[in-house]
Amino acid sequence: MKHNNNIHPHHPHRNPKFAPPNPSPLSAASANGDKSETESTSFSRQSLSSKSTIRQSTTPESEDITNDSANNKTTTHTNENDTKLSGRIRHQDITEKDNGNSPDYRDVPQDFFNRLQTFPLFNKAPKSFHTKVASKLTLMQYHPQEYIIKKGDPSKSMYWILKGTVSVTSTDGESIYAELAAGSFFGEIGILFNRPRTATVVARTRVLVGVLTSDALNTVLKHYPLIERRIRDEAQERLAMQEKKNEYDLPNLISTKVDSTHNANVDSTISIQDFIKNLPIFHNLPSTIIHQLALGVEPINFNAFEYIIHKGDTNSDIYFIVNGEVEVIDYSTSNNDDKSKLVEHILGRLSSGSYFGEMSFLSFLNNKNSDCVRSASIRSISTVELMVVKSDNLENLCKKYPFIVDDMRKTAEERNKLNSSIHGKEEEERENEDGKTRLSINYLINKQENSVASPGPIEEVTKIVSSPVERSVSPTGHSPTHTTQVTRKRKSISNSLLQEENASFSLDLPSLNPSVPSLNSFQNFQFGGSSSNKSAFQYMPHNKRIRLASISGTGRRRSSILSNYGPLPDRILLKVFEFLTLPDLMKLRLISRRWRQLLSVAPNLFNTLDLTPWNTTIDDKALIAITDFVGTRPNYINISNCFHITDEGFSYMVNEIGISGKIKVLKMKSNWEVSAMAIMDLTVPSVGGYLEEIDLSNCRKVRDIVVERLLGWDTSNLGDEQMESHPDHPQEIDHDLEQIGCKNLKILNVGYCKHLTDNVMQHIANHASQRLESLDLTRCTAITDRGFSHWTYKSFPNLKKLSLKDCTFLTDKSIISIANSATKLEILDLNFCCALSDIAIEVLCLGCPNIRELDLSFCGSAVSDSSLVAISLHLRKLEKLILKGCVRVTRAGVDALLSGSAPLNYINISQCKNAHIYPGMIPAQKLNVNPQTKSAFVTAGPFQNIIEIVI
Amino acid sequence: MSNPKVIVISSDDEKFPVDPKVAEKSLLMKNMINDLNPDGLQEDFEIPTPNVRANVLAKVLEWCEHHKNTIFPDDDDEDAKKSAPVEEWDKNFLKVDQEMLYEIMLAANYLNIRPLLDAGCKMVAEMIKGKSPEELRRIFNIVNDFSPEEEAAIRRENEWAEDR
Repeated sequence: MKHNNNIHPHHPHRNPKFAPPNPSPLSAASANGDKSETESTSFSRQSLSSKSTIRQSTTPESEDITNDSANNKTTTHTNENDTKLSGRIRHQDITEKDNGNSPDYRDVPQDFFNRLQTFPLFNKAPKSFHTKVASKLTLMQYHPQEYIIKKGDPSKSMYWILKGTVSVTSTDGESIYAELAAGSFFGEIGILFNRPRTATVVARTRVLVGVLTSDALNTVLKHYPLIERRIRDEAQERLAMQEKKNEYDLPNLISTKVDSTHNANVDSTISIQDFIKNLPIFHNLPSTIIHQLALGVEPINFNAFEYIIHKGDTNSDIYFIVNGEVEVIDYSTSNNDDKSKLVEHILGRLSSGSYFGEMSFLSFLNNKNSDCVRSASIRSISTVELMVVKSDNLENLCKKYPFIVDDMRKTAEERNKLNSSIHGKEEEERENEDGKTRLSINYLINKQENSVASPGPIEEVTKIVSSPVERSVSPTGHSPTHTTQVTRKRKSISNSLLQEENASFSLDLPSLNPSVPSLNSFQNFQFGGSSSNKSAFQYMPHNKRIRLASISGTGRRRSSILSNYGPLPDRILLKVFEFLTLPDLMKLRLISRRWRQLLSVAPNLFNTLDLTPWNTTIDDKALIAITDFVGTRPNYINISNCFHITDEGFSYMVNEIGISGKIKVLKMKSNWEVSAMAIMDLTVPSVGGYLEEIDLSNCRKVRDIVVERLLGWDTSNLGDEQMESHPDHPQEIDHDLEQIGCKNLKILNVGYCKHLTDNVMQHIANHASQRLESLDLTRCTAITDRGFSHWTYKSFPNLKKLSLKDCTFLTDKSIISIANSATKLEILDLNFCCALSDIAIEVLCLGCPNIRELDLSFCGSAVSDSSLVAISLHLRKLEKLILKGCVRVTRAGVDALLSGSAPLNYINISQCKNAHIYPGMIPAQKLNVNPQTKSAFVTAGPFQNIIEIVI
Repeated sequence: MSNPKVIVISSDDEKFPVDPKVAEKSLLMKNMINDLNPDGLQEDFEIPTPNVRANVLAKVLEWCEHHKNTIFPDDDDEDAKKSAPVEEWDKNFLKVDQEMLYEIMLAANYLNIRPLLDAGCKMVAEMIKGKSPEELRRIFNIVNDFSPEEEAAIRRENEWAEDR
């Protein structure tokens, strides 16, 4: 019975031995795994239910926390408590029974328990439910490439990933829809609806999963009828949504972006029911009806700048914004009898979490047939994802359950009353109590409206500017008074030129100043439905959400009436921005909302993020602020010499920009505080998958593993690799790692990373030889000939540039390896490779005939007159040769170069003290040297090219 | 007849006869001339510019006249373009009141005269640099539509930028 006690959170005699505070997930997992982390074979696929079925015994802290969170999550608190209580009583009975079967209980890993609680379908259930579910879980381990579930198989279980990564693939395994990492779950649809698997899931790495069989779940659910109802409803809604999405050929839910922290299945964070309940008129409906409604919800996507609703349309679908922004537009005709002129008023904008279109449904309720006319147009600003409740669906429901009509009508009336008292002054269509007033607005669709409208979300059309004064004061402000004022406001500058260009600009109107207070009050107004519930929804990548939130500010933006634009149209303003620096632009956010929005969405503004001009002042805080500002736009990032940056700022930047954007180039020279772990954030494919070039020079914490993981593991030659087993890190070559790395990385600068060893060279040879284009190993003094010996039998067909500057220990052997493998080399820097001999040069001449630039400075023992003869004979493409400090070079060698057939245009023989005499101390003709540049120009060679000789 | 001219017509119907070489500084006009006269210009050719007023057009054409022999660097070289300072003559040329400057920029944009538009943008950028938001709002006639809280929030985010 002791174990039984442990189940009860409130039991006074809790034995601390059974409640270690927050066991780390790994240790717990391996403990549960019967210490078989290393002996994986014996462990694999073996169900451990009997040994590791577990009871959660809770520490007081965690109990408090979970209680709190449960309270927060539940709206029907009292109900929950009841359920909990009854659940507990039954629970006891069962536990006793269970005790007989499996007496060996240990703690559920805390983090696993947390995962259960965050599982969206379960998150409203009481804690006792989680405890029970956790107790039913069994652990399974799968090998890489092993099938966990196959499409079409009968479903018996659902899975939580505790460790490792899985891929959701097509049946043939050809295309991968998604990768799920630890913390994700899959298979829930199958067991909740007893239907065959809808996708195939394969282990990518070694994977540890928690398995919940449908039998077990059903046993638990039996005791929680309320929760069962809710879970099934919600899962059914999601399934319906997903099927509709598939049907419409919308992007598959599963294949959408992997939110690394949570779950790939974006939909799983959406509760359709929450959306519907969000709408006051549905608020009081019984849950069965809401469920019916939710099942009928359909997803719709719109591109930027498309009309979702036209004013005057007659239907009454209700829309919820899942993602993106729309604007509410009204039209009126301008007053000067020019009927073709349509004036567009932007009444506001709505972002995710908001809904629209319910007004016409309300009028539909009030007057069944006539009044379902849209009172305003809705146009998308960005790409928007919507969910729509179809009107026929609503009507059917109303027919089926007539009583709900009354119910909703009552709610609608109440709401209208409320609105009219609270928001009486706001003339916005949504808050207007009388739909008919709004419908009386003259409506005239101009056939040209589409051609008038400019295509981008940034360039909103504001053809005629109206004053906000009457807008915020008069509730019936749409009437003619509105338009008479309009023309008066136009200033001479707004000549035809500006208008024709559809530029969004506004005018400098001194008379507008008095309206500022009313403007502010208008902005601060938030209308109930959308804003208060915003926090309840989380279905956007969070950086995007932050961005959108910051654009839309508090609730809705006021109409684009006032001059918050300035005199220049956006397009030209953006050009001006191109000539300003980052700090200037950050400060410009303060000018107005419009400018801030422009700065945060303009697509090409920060493709290059170069912080080197401010390197000494960039710290983590600054970097985070800058990242928030530039968003996901940069693909070239240069934070070289920003040596104050530490892991905090670096990880933030890399993840924010990397996950939703495309980092192609990252230069982080001398970011020496950044740890290896932080740099390895880039090795997650979703972060660094686009990386082509990285400069890690002088990042002191770079070690072998960093470079190895950055380059990733090329599995096409797995065979070789297992044969030459890694001497120091035998377990590193692992199937786990094939998913890691930047597959496009081809330019690598690891200069001054003195910790790098020969293992890196082996890794490069095995896994990056094909793609590597440039490698800088300047002063990697721990790399020796042995490292290059791995290169000998590999081919580096794309390696064009190699720098071995200051690798003083390399000998001819390394050069022989290079000449064998990197035959396409064009630029080679051997500056200060003092240990080389003449043989190295001769081998190079034969092996790398494409060399254009060669630096042999201070390779005194390698460069002699005879090696220069070899160079002049074989390197037919050589343009630049640096021989600084090579004392064995005499004028004879220089002459050989000058008379060779290479298209040389630069030779540096400074500090070559013997270069001005012939062997045997025979003085040579003096070169005609410019004393300032210390260089002489001679014309030489068969092509008579001009050669600069630096002395 | 001597060399045929291009006659540029402003929005208010004023006519500006110019050398084709001058007009061709505008890519828009250049394309128009070439497209409509595949055999080369035989006689005077009228180009209406309904978006540009006469006094602005005069300025723009003055610029084209001055630069008719200038060879501008390639558009592709973004960096060089950005770092290059505004030419002294252009600077003086663009020392006009703000409204005129904006109109010249708009015209340059419409007529597709990249170097002139760039010069204008650089002038505006110079104007912006180092000024406080209040000053800038005054210059551009922009109303501050942030609430004090929002403004404070942005200022907090801008802490790093403020000292630069």
